[in-house]
Amino acid sequence: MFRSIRGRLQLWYAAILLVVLLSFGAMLFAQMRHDQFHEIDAELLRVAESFPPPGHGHRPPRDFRSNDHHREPPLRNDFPLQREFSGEEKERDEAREELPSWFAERYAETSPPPYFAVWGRDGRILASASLPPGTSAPQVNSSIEDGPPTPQFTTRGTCRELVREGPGQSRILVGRSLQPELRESRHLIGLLLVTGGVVLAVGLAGGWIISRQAMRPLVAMSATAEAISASNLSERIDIGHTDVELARLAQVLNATFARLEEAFDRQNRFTADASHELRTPVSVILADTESALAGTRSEEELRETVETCYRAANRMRDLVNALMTLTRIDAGQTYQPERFDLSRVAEECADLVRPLASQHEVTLELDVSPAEINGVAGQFSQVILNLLTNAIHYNRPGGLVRLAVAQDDAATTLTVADTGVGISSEDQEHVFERFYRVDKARSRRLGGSGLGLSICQSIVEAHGGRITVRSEVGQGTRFAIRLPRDQ
Amino acid sequence: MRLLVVEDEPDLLRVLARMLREAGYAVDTAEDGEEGLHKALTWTYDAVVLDLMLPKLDGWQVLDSLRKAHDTPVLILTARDALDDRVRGLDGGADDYLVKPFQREELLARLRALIRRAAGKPSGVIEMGDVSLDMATRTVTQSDAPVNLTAREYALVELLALHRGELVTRTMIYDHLFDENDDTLSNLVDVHVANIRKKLGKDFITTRRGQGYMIDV
Repeated sequence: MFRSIRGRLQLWYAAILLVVLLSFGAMLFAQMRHDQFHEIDAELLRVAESFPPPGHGHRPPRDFRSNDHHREPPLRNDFPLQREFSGEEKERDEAREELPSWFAERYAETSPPPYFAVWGRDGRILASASLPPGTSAPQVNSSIEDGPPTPQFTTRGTCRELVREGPGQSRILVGRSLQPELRESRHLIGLLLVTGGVVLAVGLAGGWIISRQAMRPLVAMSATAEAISASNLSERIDIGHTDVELARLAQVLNATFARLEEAFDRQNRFTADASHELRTPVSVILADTESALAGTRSEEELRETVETCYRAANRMRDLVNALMTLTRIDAGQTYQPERFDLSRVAEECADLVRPLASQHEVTLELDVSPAEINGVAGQFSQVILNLLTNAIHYNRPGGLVRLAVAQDDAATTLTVADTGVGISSEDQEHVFERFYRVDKARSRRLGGSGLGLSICQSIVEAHGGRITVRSEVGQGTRFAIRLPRDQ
Repeated sequence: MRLLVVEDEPDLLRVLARMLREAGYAVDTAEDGEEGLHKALTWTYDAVVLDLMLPKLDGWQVLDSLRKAHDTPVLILTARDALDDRVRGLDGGADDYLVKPFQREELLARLRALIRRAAGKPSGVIEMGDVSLDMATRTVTQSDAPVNLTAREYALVELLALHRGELVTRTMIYDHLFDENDDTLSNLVDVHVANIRKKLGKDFITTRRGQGYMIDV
């Protein structure tokens, strides 16, 4: 899950959504709580202000908050609660010393029921209703000197209470249960939980779907990449419908796949060609030995068989050697490079092929000047021998082969030019390809492996150089090797 | 039986020709497609062994041109072993396809089968009265006793047996029994027929004077 981008995305979604929902819920709850208490407090104040009842000359409570101290004395001199004990007014007063009916009725069902108490200056309860047991006379911190008394709100247990100072330093307490508000809060919490849960679920589901949408191209790309194996390298990622962000990745992958396919194709072709080349000599050996073993051949005929097999085996050895050379060069197997004179190597090679040249009535001309280079001398002699034998074999009697080595400040050049049959321009493109033969029949007779020029090219390129061919049919061919100095 | 081998690899061509000659066939050879097609169109071969990768004309082209004129059985013998090549060769009119390197016995068996099928004789054993000819072992028995024939004599009996009940002209015999290098002396056939009659009985081969021979048993 945590190794999956989609899983992590989903986790982040969930965390963020949860934080948002929780803070939203908490804010909503706090606001509601605040509003509730505000309302309760306003209500309690209204109730509290109904003590003492109006008509006793005291002012409405809001005047208590006035800053005008000098207008206060009439109020403070008023002792309305003492009327409780004046007979004629008692009945009326008693009615007034109850909670207002709207308040009592509204919260009649709550537990505890709404209550109030009025304490005299001496701490005696002057009047009360439903006062929870154990309620002691509250302390009112405000003193006369401090200014007008401030109603004090407190929450006691599940009840909200208001204490204010009444006339004559009496204290009035009004309280009621918070039950309805708690119920409402619970309801809200429940509602918030349900709504939050639904929002969370919808959000997560949406996130899942969106992340799947977002991951779809990646999934498709990986599916394509998975489908690409050695046996099926031609598949490509569809770039047409890929988003811009992923198109680049897809292009890079496709380019890699293309290179891979090319390499595999080349390898396959090479293996097929190599095995094809080996089939013929193997066929010769098998067919001839089987025939020799099956029949009764004379000693002379058996000798012929052995000679044939020997030739075939030689051809196979040459081919295997050529393949090994190519493989070594391809693998970048390094030999210790040495500093040597290319013209000396060229002269040695020329000496080696001279008998072949005179056998084919071809003149070999040398035009070499000293040219020191860094490289593997053995490999260069292989290149030069290869080019020289080709130049002799594909020449005409009385023809010419010219070998030149020169060096200037920029590069060392070696050229092998002949006056032979030439190579058509369309064949020129392919002469360095492995197993490519311009004249198959002639090449077969000469026992060529079809790898000679490929090997030359590989060696020259491994030395940082380039080999090129220029040829005119019927005029001759010129191979040129150019090695930059200080490579 | 006379075969044409078209193969551009000189050593393999020589080895093939010698192997087939040792197996009792008269063998002509060609080193490229052009020569091969020319010979195949000129002579009546019992089968052609054809390589695909040939100079001048490749094997498919040879096959294509040959099929327009002749229904000579063709066996493709090639290093190309891909399925596509085999299908293309067989669909192009070849009767069989063998990949190099091959086993001598398999090539010989396939050639025997090709020749047999072309002659309309699905079995390798041909019974003619009390004489029985086994193409696989190249032996002839009379009343279950082996008859000692030379290779040429056997080839002649086989040719006549494959065309049993039909007239086999002297030209046909020359065409099928001797290759391009043989000196075909006109009385050579008569000598062979006389020898076979000595070994298998006077009436085994009927002579149609001036026309040819046939086995009518």
